[in-house]
Amino acid sequence: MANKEATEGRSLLSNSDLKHPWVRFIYWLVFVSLVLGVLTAFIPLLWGVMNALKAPRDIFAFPPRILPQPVSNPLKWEWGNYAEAWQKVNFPKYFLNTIILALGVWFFNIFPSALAGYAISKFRSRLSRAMAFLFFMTLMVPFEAIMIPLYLTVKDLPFLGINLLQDRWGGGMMAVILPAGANAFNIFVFKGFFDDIPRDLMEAARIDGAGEWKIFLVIVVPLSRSIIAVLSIFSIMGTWNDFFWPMIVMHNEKFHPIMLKLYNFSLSPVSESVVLASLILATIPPIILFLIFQRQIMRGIALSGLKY
Amino acid sequence: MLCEKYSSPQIVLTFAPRRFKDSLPYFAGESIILPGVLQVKKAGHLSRILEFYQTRLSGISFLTPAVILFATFAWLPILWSVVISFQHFSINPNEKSTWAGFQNYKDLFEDPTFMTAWSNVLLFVGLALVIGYFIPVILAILINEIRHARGFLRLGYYLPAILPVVVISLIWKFLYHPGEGGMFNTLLRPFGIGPVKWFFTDHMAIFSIVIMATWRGAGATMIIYLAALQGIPPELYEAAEIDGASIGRRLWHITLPHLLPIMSILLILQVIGTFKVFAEPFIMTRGKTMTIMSFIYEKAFHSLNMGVATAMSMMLFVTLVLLSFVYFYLQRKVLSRF
Repeated sequence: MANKEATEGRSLLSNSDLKHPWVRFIYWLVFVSLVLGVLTAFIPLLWGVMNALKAPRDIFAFPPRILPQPVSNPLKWEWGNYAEAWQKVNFPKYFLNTIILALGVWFFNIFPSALAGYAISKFRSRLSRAMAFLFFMTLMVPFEAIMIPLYLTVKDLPFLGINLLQDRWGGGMMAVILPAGANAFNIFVFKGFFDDIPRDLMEAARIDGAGEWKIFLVIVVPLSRSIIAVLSIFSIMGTWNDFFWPMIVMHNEKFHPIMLKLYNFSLSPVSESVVLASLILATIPPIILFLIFQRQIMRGIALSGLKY
Repeated sequence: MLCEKYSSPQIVLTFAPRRFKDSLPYFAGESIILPGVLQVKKAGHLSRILEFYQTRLSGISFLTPAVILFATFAWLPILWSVVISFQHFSINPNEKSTWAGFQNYKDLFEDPTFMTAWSNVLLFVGLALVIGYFIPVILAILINEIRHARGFLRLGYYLPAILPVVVISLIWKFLYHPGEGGMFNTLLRPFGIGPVKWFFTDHMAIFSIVIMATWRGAGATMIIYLAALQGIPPELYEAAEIDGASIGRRLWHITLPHLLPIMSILLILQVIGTFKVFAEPFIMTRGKTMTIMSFIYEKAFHSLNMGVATAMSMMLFVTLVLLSFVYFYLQRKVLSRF
C-alpha cells in the first residue's frame, strides 16, 4: 500500500492530534497516571520486602514507617528473618519438589496432547472427528464438577487398582501429574498449529518411505518448537502456582510443592515477618522465569485470547 | 480419497528379475516389465488394504495415550459425578452406596450455609463485573496510545498475574490488617476514613477480595485486549480523521466495535470463572467466607458427604451451562443487529 509507512503503528491518536496542546497535556497526564499505576502494582511486593525486615509487632505498629525502623531498635534491619524463613521452610527441598512435579506435569501436558492434536489434524476420519468432539466436551465441564470423582478415581485407579495417593507414588505427585494429561485446550492449540503445516511436506516424506511415527518425530516436532515453547511455559507456570488440586491429593508434607508448603507454614506458629520473608523468597523464581520468557508468554496469551 | 491415491501405478525402481508375474497371487498386483531396470508395479488389493490400515493404525496409535488419559481422568469422572449426586455415597469400601434419588438435592436446600454460599458468590460476580471488567479495557486502550515505555507499562501491569495466588493472597491479608497499622488503613487515614475492618463481615471481605483479584487479574486480560487493538487497521482511523471525526467519535465508532466480540467472550468467561472462585477467599479468610467451591470442599473432605458435595457441583455445572446458553442466545440476537 502506498501510505504504509505513514499509517504504521498509528492508532486512535494521530500525529496531528498530538500537536494540539490540550491533547499533549492529557497524554502526559495519562502517561504519568499509568506509570503510577504500575508502581502500585509493585507496592505490595515492595511492602512485603520492607516489612519482612521488621520485627513482627512493627509491621502493624502505628504510625507505620516505610523503611524498617523498628520502634525497639532503631535502624536495625532484621535480615535474619530471611535467613530464618529460608531455613525453616527448607526452600531447596520444596523447590525440588515443585520442579519434579513441574517436569512430570509438563511431559503429560505436552506429549499426549501433541499426538492427539496431530492425529485429529492429519487423519481426517469419522473416528478422529468423534474423538475431537469428545475431547472438546470436556472443556465445557468445569474441573470443580468432577474433582470429587477424580479424587475417588485417583484413589483407586480402574483396572489397575493403584492408589495414587500413597507414598510410593510420590505422595500424591502422580495424582497431580497423570490427570494433567487430559488437557483438551492443548490438543486444540496443537491441532490449529498442525493444520498450518502443508500436507506436501508429509506426503514427500511418505513417498520417501517414512512411516507415520517417523514423520511426526523427525519432521513435525522440530517445526513446532515455538508452540511447544509457549505451551511449556504455561504448563510450568501453572504447576508452580497450582494450589487447589495438590492440596486435595497431597497429604504427605514431604512431597508438597512450594505453594502448599508456604500455606501450611503461614498457619504454623511463626512470626509474621518470617512468613512474609518466605513469601517474598517464593516470588523470585516466577519473576525470573517471566523476565526470561516474556516474549513467549505475551505471544501465548494473545494466541489463546484471539482464537475466538 | 483412497482411489485418488492409488489410481496411478506406483513406480518402483528396482533391479528385479525380469519374469515373476506368474509366481505371485493375483491380488499382489501385476508387474509390467519394461525393457531396462524400470519396473512398473500396479498396486494390488492386498498392498492397498495393508497401506490403508497402516495409516489408520498409526492414527489410532497417536490417539491412544490421550484417549486413555481422558477416559480415566475426564470422561469417567464426569459420568461418575452425575451418578454420585443421586447416591448416598459412602467412601468406606465396606459399605455399599445406596440409591438416594433426589435426597441429596433436598439436603442441599435445607443446609443453612447453602444460601450463604450462593449469595456470596453472586456478590462476587457482581462486584467483579462492576469493578474488574472495565478496568482492563480502559487500561488497554490507554496503553495502546502511549508511545513511550509501552513495553515497561505492559510488563508492569502483567507482573502481578504471574505471581502465585497463595503468595499474593497472604501478602494482601497483611495489607488488609484491620488495626491502625494496616497498610491500607494508614493510606486512608489522611482522608479521614477511620480504620476499616476489612474482613469484618462477609460483604466487606468479598469487596476486599475483589479489589485484590482485580489488581492481580487486570494485566492478563489487558494483554488480550492489547493484542486485539493491534489488529485494528490504522487506515480506519486515518479515514475517520480525514472525515473530521473527533477523538471521542473515533473511539466510539472504531475502537469499541472492534473490541466488542472479545469483550463479550471475556465477559462470559469472567462470570463463569468468578462462580468458581476458591483460592482467594479460602486463603484470605481460611474458609469462613463461604463460597460455592468452599462449600463443596468442606462437604466433600471434611464432612465426607460426597453425595451432597457432588449434588452441589452438579448444580453449579447446570448453572454455568444455562449461563452459557443464555449468553450465546443473547449474542446471536445482538450480533444480528450488526
